[in-house]
Order: sequence, then C-alpha cells, then structure tokens
Amino acid sequence: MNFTSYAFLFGFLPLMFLAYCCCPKQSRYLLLLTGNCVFYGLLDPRALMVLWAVVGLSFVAGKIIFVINHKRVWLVGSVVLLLGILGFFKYAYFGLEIASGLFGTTELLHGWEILLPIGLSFYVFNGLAYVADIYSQKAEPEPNFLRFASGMTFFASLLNGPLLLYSSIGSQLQTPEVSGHQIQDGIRRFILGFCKKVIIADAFAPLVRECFAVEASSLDIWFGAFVYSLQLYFDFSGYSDMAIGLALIFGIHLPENFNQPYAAKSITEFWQRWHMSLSAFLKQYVYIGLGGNRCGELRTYLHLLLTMLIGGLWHGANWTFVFWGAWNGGLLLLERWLGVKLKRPPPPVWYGITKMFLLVMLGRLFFIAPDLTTAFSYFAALTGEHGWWLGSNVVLLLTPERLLLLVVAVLLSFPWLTWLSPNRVVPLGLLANRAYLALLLPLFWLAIGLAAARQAVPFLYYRF
Amino acid sequence: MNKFLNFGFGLTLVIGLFGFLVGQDFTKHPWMVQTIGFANGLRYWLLATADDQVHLGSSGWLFLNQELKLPAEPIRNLETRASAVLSVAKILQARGTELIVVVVPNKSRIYQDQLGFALPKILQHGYSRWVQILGANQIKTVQLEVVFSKAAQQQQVFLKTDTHWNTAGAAIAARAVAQQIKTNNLTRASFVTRSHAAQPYLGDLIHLMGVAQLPPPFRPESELEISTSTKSLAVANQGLLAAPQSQVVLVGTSYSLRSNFGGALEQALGVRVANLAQEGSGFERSIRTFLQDRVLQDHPPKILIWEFAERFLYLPVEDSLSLP
Repeated sequence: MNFTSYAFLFGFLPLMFLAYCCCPKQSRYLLLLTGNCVFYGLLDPRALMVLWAVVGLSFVAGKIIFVINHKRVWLVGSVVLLLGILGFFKYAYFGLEIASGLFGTTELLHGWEILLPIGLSFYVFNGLAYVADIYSQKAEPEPNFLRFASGMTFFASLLNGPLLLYSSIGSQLQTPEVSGHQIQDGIRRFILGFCKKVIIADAFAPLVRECFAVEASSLDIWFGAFVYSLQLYFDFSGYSDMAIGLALIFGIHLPENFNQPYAAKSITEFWQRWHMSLSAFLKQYVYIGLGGNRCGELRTYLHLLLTMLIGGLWHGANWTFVFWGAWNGGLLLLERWLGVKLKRPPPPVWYGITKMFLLVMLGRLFFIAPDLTTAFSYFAALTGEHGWWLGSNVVLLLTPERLLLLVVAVLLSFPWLTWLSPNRVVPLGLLANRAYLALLLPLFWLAIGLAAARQAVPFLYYRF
Repeated sequence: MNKFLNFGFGLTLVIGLFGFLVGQDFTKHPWMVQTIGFANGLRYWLLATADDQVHLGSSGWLFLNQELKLPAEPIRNLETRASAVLSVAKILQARGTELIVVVVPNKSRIYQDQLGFALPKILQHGYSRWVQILGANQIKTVQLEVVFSKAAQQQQVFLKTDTHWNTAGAAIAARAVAQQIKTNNLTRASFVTRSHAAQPYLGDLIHLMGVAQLPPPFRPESELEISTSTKSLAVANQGLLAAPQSQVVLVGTSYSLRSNFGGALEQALGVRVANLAQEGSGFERSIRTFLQDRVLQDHPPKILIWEFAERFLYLPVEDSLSLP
C-alpha cells in the first residue's frame, strides 16, 4: 500500500489511528504489529514471509549474541545469514548475469524469477544494526518478540526508511503516548511530505522520462539531470516527511533523513545531509567497522571508497550503482586529499554549492540509467552527440505548471531566507511559518485531487 | 482473559472495516470526483495547464498531445504501416474489391498557427511521404491534407475542443472521398441531409482534461456545433428490398462515426455505405475485423474505404500489426 493511495489515506490510516487511540497503551504494539502486517501483506503476501524471516533471525541472533561467549562467531553467522537473504532476493540474478557474461552463455538465467520484496534493503539493514549494536554492547536485546517485531516492521518506515536503530524505537513502544500536540505536528509533517511528493515530484516524472529518451540532446540530459535531482529529493524527502509525520501521529519519534542537502558546499557535507540515516549506518557499521581513519591515510581512502561502493550496491543489483558508488567515493576521496595535502581554505559558498550540485547531478546519470551502456550514452550525449537544444517532446511538456513548480522546487531546496537576511531569520521565519500553515490545508486538498488526476508515480526508492 | 478477548474482537472489527474500505474505489465517490475535477480546474484556470494528453493552443484551440509528440523512429513506423496497407490491397484485389485509403490529417498541422509550438519537421513531411509510397504502388489515396488546408482558410474544419473534424469538415472530407470513386456500376440511392439547431458542444479533449463537469472559468469554453443527419429516401430504379447492402463499405476510426461523416459520404456518393468503423480502432482494428468477417469474405464489397488518423502512422508498431 502506498502512502499516497486513497486506500491508505481514507481506509488504513484513520482506522489504525482510531483503533490505536482506543487501545490500552500496553497493547498498542500488538495493534501496530497487526497493522504493519496488513500494510505490508497487501503489497505482496509472499514478501511478508521474507520480512518475518528477517525479523525472526535478527531477534534470535540478538538473544544468542547477548548471552553466549563466542559472540564474534555468532555475529558473523547472523550477518552472513541476513546478508544471504538480501543477496538471494536482491543480488542472485545480478550474480547470474555476471556469471553468464563470464561463461558466455545465457542458459544460467533461464527459469529464475526471484521476488524482490519492497523495502528489503531497509529492513535487512535494520536487522544488521540491531545485532551489531548488541554485539558491541551499545544495546540490549528486546525481551518481547512481538514488541520487537512491531518495531522492526513499523509501517511508517518499513518501505523506504528512515533506517532505524531498534534501540531508538524499542523504548518508545513500551507505552506509546499520543498527545494532541504530537498529532498536530505529525499531521502537518505528513501533509508537507504528501504535497512534496504529489504536487512537486510527480509533476516532474514525465519530464524526466522524456529528457532521458532515446537519442537525447545535450541540453535534454543536462536539464533531465537537473530535474531528476529535484524530483528525487522531493520524492524521497517527501516520503521521509510522511514517515516521520505518521510515526508522530502514533506517538513515535523517527530520526530525520534530510537536511537541505543541496545547500551543502561539498560532497562530504552533502552526504551528511542526504539520506542521513543511511549515511549514519554506513559510517557506523561499514566505514568504522573497516577501521575508519585509524589505519593510516592510504587505508582511510580505501575504507572511504569501499563504504561508498557498498552504499552504491545497497541501492540495487546493477553495475550502474557500483559506478555511482565509485563516483561518490572517488569525489569524497579527492576532497579529503585536497583538504589534507593542499590545505586549501573552504571555497566561497556560491562556488561550493554550484560545484557540489553539478557533481551530484552528473553522478545521477549512473543512478537513473537502466544499465551501464545507457549511462555512458548519457555522458556521450552531454557532448552534443545528438544535438544541443531541447527535444520537441521535452519542450511540449514544459507547461506553465511545471515551470512554476521548478521555480518552487529550487526555492524550497535552498535556504534562501538564511542567505538573504542572515541577521533577520526569525521574523522572516515566522512569516513563512504562518503562510505555510495557511496554505497547508488547501494544498493538501489540491494534492489529494492531483493524486488521482495525474498518472500515479511510485516512490522512486521503492525499487531499492 | 476478557481484556484479550475484547482486544481480539476490536482487532477483527478493525481488519474487517479496513478490508471493506480498501475494497472501495474512492476515485468513483462523488466527492472525490469533484475534488479531482477541481484540482484539474484550478490547474487550468490558474496555470493554463492541462493534463499531459492535451495541449492548450491559442484562441481556445485544444490539441491532442499524441499528434505533437514525436515517437521513436516515426518514418520507419510509417513505412511499416504502408507495407501493411499494400498487403491488404493485394488481398482485396484478389477478392475484387477496390481500396481507397483516407488519412485524416492531424488537426495540429491544419491549425499550426494556433499551436504556439513548432511541430517537428518529420511530422510535417510524414503525410506526403505516405501519399508518395501509396501512390507509387497504385493505391488510391484521398489527399485530405490539401483539401483541408485550403478549406480551413474559409471555414473551420475541426472542432476546437475535440480531436475530430466538425460537421463542415466531415462533409468536405466526404465530398473529397466521393470524387475519387467511380459510381457507374453501383446501385444509386437518394439521400436527404437535415441540419439541426446549433448546440453547445464539449469536445473529447475537455473530457480528457477531466474538467467537463466544471463551469467555464475552470474549463475551456464550449463551442456551438451544428449537427446534421442523413436519411435514405429510396434506392433509385430498384425497390428498397432489392438494394445490395454492402457495395461500399467504410471501415475506420471514430472520425467515421462523428459529425455525420458516414451520412455525408452516402449523400456525396449517392450510394449506400455500410459504416463498419469502430470507436478507438486505431490504425488496424476495424480493417482486421473486416478481413476476418466470413460474410464479407463471401460477399465482398466493390469498394472499401479505409479511414484512419494521420497520428497513428508514426506510433510504434505493435507485434500484432500483421494484418492479413
């Protein structure tokens, strides 16, 4: 079920909320668990079994690691099993493709149609973080399996995150409080995310599709990469806003996932602001796990590169994501090297932001391409291989509505108010807040209409 | 125990209610229909934007985006379709039927000045390429493009808010088709065409925009359209019962079903026309139905008029385009 579907808005959400309010606090996690299963089961009942396998495995592994002496063996075993589940469902076909290429036969690919459960990468990583935290004694295992399952399968963050540390949600599930203030904040946040997704991100989807059509011109690709960067931000951050808002309505606090990423002045800063829960996971469990910056300069570079490669591969079983990870890893490495060796002072804000945005945009050519050949064809098209000017099909889609939304998206992506009046942030902020509140409900109403009026676009991160 | 029973009962109720609500199609509820309509209406009113299927031209002219969008390999698709027409012509020739091809030119080319958008060059020359291929293979093609371009300087030939031609355009097209057909060996009939009072008309493009139910500021203005209807009086020189029913057959798209084109064609020809056009036929559905019809195989017509819209020529060819 999709957060923007009417079945969710008018069916699942109000009913769950009503039942949740009526339910005794001590039993709310049971209701939540039931709701989570209904929510996920409606997408694909088979995927529900995979979810339960991951939850069960993480729970048992956590218990054993906590009490047993040979913790490392059990940690490695459970990590291998969890990654095995992820690997089988997400990467088995990719592995077979590579093997087919090596052996020069397509026989291996026949008869393989593997289910890819939505959100698998997210909940497997949640499970990994849980067992790793117990191993490193940062957290204790949850004694109640059903409570653990209700937290691990929490519908708000199950499909597209934010990635959760169970320790941060487990305590909130003991006796979750629902206060009027929280509900109000949650609804507001949910509406904000809903509008970001439906009004802005979905409007750009046909434009992006057309920009990256066959034989795209140079400007098609540049413009497409720009619009796609905005679409991805509003789509994914919209989802995160909805997830955080929904969780608040149910009395649960989820971590933030975005902090105006396009206002970053470097790639390093960008990754501290974009998909923050994944960045934090990769830093904590991969980069530091590998040794971080404690093993010398050269190893630090290697760890950085490996972390970003794993981050890339986490997004999908495709060479394009490996290259995308390498692109980001390479840039992080370069930035670090330039900072350490040349001791260059930080660049001016305008230069830093423009450079960062261009590099992120170019990296997204790997991210959006269905395969590596297509990705390289996009780079070739940038040089004007198929002409320079925008294609007629792209121009056709540049309606006044989209042009206005492009301006709005750019305005909302950057902290203009802070830049324009750094000393008068509070009054302008208040003004913006009041305008925002006055606009929110009519915008929500409009977005509800648009959700059906426009062609439905699934969340971009659903494929991960 | 009681607590758990109550909880279980509550849960079952919630899941039951939820199942009921999930099964509902909320988009069909009247209040949702209104909400969706107003969302579209606001986009039109405030931002002069329509659904991606419709392009807003100037002076109230609406165009179907499919006519303006350049698909991949348009000329190759056109040539594949031309080959299909040649194959059909051969089959028909074997049955003793003469084929007349009528391609309705894109409204967007006839009214390019209302587009506010430069049509891709390929789309401007595709029609002549089509006529050239068919002409080289001795297949009769009615060049409605020339006829409409000329007529459009005097009067409106397409509806402003609709994909299709208006009554005047349909009559002009019918006369142009009739000029290509020799009726000497056909049983003649008499027809009378009546004009009805002009009525406000909301075109299919307004419906496609999803704003048809809204008042004018939120949707394009409707236009006045005079409709006509044609009735046969009697078959000349023969009793009505003796008249052969399918000497001339018309297959094609919704164009043949709109604005009394079929009637105007009968009137212009002075011959009865069996109109087998189908709504949403696309390029090939109605001709496929015709070719597969057992009765028409046993009693083939003398003339088959095959109408379709120019925009279908360029669309990607589906696997199913093996007509004969």
